[in-house]
Amino acid sequence: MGKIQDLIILEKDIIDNIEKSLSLSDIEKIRISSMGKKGAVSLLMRELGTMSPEDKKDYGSKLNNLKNVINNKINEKQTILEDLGIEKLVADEKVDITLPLQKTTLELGRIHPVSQVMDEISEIFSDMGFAIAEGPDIEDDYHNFSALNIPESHPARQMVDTFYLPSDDENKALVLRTHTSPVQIRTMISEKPPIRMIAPGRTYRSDSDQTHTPMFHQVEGLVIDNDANMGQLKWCLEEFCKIFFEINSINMRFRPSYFPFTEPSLEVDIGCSKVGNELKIGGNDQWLEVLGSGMVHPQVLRNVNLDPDVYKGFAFGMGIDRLAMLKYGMSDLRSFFDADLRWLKHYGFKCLDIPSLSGGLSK
Amino acid sequence: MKFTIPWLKEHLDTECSSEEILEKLNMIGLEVESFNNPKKLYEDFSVCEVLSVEKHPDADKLNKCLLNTKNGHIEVICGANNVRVGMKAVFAPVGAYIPGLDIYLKSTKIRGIQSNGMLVSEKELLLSDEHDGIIELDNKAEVGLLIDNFFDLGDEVIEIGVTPNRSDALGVNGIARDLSASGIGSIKQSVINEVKEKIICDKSFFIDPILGKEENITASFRLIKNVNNVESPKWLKDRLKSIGLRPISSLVDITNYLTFDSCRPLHVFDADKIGKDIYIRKATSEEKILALDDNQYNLDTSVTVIADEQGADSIAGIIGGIRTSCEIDTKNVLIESAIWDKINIAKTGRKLGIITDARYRFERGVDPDFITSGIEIATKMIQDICGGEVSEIISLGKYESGNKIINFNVSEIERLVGISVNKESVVEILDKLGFEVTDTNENLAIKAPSWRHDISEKACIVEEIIRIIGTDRIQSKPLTKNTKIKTKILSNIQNRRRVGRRALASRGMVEAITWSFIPHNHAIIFGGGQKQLQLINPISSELNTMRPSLLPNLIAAMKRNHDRGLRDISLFELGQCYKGVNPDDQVDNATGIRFGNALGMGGSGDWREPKREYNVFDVKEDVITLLSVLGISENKYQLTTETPPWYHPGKSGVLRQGPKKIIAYFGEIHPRVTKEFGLSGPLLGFEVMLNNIPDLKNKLSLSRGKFHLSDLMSVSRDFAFVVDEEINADKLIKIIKNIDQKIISEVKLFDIYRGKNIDSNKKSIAVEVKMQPEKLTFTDQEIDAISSQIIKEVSNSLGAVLRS
Repeated sequence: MGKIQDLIILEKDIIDNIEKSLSLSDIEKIRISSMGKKGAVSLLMRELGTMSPEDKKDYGSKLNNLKNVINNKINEKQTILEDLGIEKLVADEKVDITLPLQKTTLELGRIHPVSQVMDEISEIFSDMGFAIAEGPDIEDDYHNFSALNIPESHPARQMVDTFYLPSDDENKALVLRTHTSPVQIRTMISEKPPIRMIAPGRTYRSDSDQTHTPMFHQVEGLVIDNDANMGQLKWCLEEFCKIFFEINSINMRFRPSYFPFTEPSLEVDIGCSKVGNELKIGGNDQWLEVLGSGMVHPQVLRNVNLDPDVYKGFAFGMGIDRLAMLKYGMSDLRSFFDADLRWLKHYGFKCLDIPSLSGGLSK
Repeated sequence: MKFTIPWLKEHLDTECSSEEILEKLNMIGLEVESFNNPKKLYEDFSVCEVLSVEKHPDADKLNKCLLNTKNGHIEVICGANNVRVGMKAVFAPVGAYIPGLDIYLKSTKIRGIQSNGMLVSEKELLLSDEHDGIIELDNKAEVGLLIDNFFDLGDEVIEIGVTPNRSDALGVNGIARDLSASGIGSIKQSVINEVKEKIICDKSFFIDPILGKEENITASFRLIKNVNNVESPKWLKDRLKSIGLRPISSLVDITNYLTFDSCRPLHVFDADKIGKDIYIRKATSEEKILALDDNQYNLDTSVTVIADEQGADSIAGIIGGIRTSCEIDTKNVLIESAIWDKINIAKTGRKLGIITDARYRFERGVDPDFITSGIEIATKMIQDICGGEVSEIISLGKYESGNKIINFNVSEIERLVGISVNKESVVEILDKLGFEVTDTNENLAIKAPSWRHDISEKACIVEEIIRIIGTDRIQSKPLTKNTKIKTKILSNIQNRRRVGRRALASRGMVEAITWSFIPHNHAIIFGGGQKQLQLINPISSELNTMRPSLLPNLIAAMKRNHDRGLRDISLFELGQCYKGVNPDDQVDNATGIRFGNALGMGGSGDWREPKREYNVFDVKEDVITLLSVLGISENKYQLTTETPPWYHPGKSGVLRQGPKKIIAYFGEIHPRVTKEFGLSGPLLGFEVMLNNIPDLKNKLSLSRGKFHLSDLMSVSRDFAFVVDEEINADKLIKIIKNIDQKIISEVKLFDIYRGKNIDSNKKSIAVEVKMQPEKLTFTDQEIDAISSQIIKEVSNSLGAVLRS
């Protein structure tokens, strides 16, 4: 039974070598010298054919066993050495992870606060079923004044300073629209009631100081419907202010006022509190005028061929820039239109700050 | 409109506090713009006694004083030379606002010694210009008393903003009437005594009959002789001063007083200076008048004047003339009280640019039933102050009130406001406001009082009721759910703006909003500046022309930022440009400029990437990306090179749909234009015409079609062709693609080479061509065949040679 003995010795020898091996190439050499075509184990396998069946059975199974043990051992060692290799590689590879990166375009770009606020306003009113309407900046006298019940020489024309453009037609003076209200007229002429729309856009008055710029933004709202009344107007504006300013309750004051195109007319104040030097929306330290509104004047309805005894509705208008200032704390309106990059970077919004009712208007 | 609380209380009997009055004014539509309460302003200042005075150890002129104040003993440092032990002075504690210095007092160390307040002078409290030492009060003044016990601080002054419809509130009496209707006290009915005439008016009055017919005018006059015009009594001067008017003389002050007290503007002529025959007529075209504001006005035939034989004496209802004005030595005075045509007053006032308290009232409307009452009140005041004998009142013209009867059903209130108010309350409110109301059972027949010119229909009555009962009665009522279901709220152009804006910001650009008007010379450079787009009354010559392009403002903004030291700049604006004055001429452009290093786009110049300036391909990418985000793929437009003159002709492109429709320009701004704006170096820009972008077709199905994936491997081959310098890369790529669009799935240009081994007027273009087999994997022969075809086609079409 010397052959069995030899097998034990061979096994021990090969296992020893595997254990001593330090590299994947050592292992490869061992695999070839033992399991390769001319390897020690393979040669012994070949001898099996010359053996008697009894010897073959016993020796064969031992030899097979040896083969398995060695294969396993080689695989095992190989895995260990591979892992060691990776470890060593990783240990040698090192970067200064603190190296700074430049900002990507997603971080560099900005949306102007007025655009952002316009998106917020559209989001709120579209949820209430309002469409977004538009009209031209260069308006004629009719749409900007006459149709809105502001006849020539009416003192209300002096309430605003109007920019004029030359006109070929003496009866059709051209102006830069002084408010977004002409869009009311355009909408009522082109659409049949019921109407629910807002019209945001640029407006112009020849005025310039810290709170007035010759160009600014307004949003107009108009509802014409059988059940429209001042109760709905109030609800609509309360809802808007709460959602826009993102507070659960807000003090609002509806003051009787005068606009030529509404009757009765209301000016709307919201309650504010002084925190340090900053004015915060909410509380009731002082009132802040934010918008004008009222029931559409019967004469305006007649001007667009709607019978005021049948149709009624309400309208409102507010300054978008001012809403932005109140919400986001800017103090000087003039900086809005100065395109100072430092200001835009500070007050602007990132491109993916997309206002939505589901995700929150602001973050 | 300014008035004081005591003035108001002459017309209104009320126990209400000033705060209640302010609150109510706001709630009835007379918006309080300011409230000046002098007691409040001075409430921190009180009497103190100086207990001891010691020289400051480190300052010759300063004293350390111990005071007995209402807050106990306090030590202050005082520099006044009149401070002495035992004197009564005015103490300002820490925290007090010192109006004359415009500071809030703090506790400070003065040369090492703590000072906890201040002894003040009259000038520091704005009580007078007196600054020769601190205020010294009577010795008997009690410590702790507030200083309103010693100084006349003036009355509480309210300023309200009066809306153009409410001329009746331009008189204190009208304000009192409104307040009484809303429950703040009751109106004091003043008795107007008619003064018995003693003399005969020796003037004759005429009104141009045509004028009398065409314009709504009534004028009344009274002569008062032998007056002694003097300085007004203190109460009258104080009253005028409290609302910011300068007292002149009794005769003039009385007219000003009644303007504000009763919204009854009056004019006084010196009867010895004005002629015997007095005409109300239109001015002649050469007529001039030197007015009381010391300006000479050139009149014309649209202006109504009061005139005598020598010419115009006053611009009716607006301003008097100097020649016939009353002065302190006036002995005989002619009072005029009138109603002038509102529209004519407004036109004249605007044309001549004159703003006076009289014009302001006449163009809004004064009470036609108060013309002679106004004269009577003025007569009484003149006689009380200046004496004199009066003539009868002579009136011309006949003013016709436009107030008609309105049939009103109280249900109208519910219809418009949503709350019901009973008939009795409505009648009561209207009655208090002076309306005549007749109950005709079904309806109310309502006539507005003579002083209201704004009540024309039912809605006006609703407004009166709601403002008096209080808008807080209005109950919020939710809007009903809109049943017209819309799949999309925004229009195409609105969506393009919204998405486009964020697409450009995502490319690192910063959005600006700039003026719609620009300097005329800028408009010219960018193809605009037509006469019809120049404002008649611009705010400045820098802002006088409607912009034809957004580029000039962005370039100017870039320059300003550059001047502030900012370097790498990418700005865009999404806004309107104007090609003409019609609504269709207004178009929306998305316009951007880039200058400096390509931040965030591989050229910022840090350890990973070298610096690289923006170039035309960055803006090309801006435009293509924007269009792609808006759903317009590259095969929807063509790229050509005929850009407008503000672009560099060799470094710019046009994207167009067919020969006419231009979708975008992009490129380097022409260096001549860049220079014009004071800049140098490559400035890149683009303009995308959002209105010209084709609308996306409404798809019948939202399904994106079946997803097809080929199992067969694609094969890539590289080719480098040497071509003439003028050959555009685009052409070469198209030739290869067109060989077999099914098989050639992608042609990627990966290198352009000029230099060694390439002739000077040539370039090498290297492309990687990806070939996608359809049914079976390509054989080597097939690949060779396609490759040869590529080489052949490119060589034949472009005269290209395969680079060796």
